[in-house]
Amino acid sequence: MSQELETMELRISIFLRYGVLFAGALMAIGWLGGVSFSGNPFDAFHIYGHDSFRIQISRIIDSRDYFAIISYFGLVALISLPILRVALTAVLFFKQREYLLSGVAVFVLIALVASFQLGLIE
Amino acid sequence: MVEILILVTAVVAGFLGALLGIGGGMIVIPVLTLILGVDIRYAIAASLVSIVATSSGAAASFLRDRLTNLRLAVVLEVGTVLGAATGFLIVRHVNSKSLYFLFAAFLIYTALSMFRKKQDSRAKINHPWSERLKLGGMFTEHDGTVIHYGVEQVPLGIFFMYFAGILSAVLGIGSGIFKVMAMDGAMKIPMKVSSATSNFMIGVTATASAGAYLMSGDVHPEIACPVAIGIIAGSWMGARVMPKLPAQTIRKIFIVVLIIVSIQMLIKGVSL
Repeated sequence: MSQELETMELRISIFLRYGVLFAGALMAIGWLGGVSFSGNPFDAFHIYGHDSFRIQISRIIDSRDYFAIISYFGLVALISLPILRVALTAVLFFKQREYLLSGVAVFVLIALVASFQLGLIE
Repeated sequence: MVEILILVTAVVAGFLGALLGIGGGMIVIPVLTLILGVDIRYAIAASLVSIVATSSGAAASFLRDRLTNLRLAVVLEVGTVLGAATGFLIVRHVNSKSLYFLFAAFLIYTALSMFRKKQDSRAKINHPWSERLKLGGMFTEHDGTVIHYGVEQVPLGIFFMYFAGILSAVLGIGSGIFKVMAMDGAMKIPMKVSSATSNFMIGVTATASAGAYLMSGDVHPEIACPVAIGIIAGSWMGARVMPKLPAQTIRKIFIVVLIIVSIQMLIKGVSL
């Protein structure tokens, strides 16, 4: 294994570790701030009811549910980690002049973003 | 105290997920649906989010232990991401009953075939794509032995990864089992490297469909947050134990998990 690759892997390792901690902290603050510890909080989810992400966000902003907003920030941050990881990998491979592998990483990145759009299709 | 139950479950799922190179969804989904009565769609969405947490948290440890093959992961992610996008579209239009049965049969077959294997896989020849992209690598065992390995049948590996991605999105699992199976069985990569690289890839695979589920409104913080928090803690612990275990022990644990999951899938398929 080359020294450059070891350095690259170490950078990604550090990025992932702190990213998970950051997202986890946001989710913990949001969840613990809103949790009641009484009854079954999952009662509302026994039957599937379809509200899009935009509607959910509009609802919590209108109701000024700040803990829910923090929770969503945490979720989005967590889901963004692998995307940023792939982007970082593409950049680092490019810097190493590994153009083919960098191109493969860019393709994965585009496919990821495109897959998100599928969720908006009813 | 339902919150405590789901937190403890998530910690256990995260620990096993990191240890075995799986996402932990196969533990979280039954608890959410069978015990807590959550609709399967919400459970799948929450599971996928938790899988992102498992993979991202444990992958950092695996990278530090020099087990993850980053170059190989990037190449195989082409298959898993396209598969996950396909799977998200499939789950919206197809009854998954037959998939559960196929899944169960596949796992049982794999468990039986893994019983016969006694030695860790080693590639005898390096595939031309592996030569071109320098996909082979090396790692150090805990006794100090340096292991060099090559990679066989790269296109077949990507093909298997595509189906692993589909199953990940359809069933809300990390599909680590299938990824490890493809790398260990078809590509002849050592088990430890397969597990670590699979775990590293699982996050990207799950993100493809988790993002789609989030946009469609199926991810709810009331469910996904406690699950993800517990999983982060569990995977942190699991990643610390994994490098200290020998390959044969990991394989034996893996076989037991395969059998348990196959029975789970059969029961689920019958109940649909």
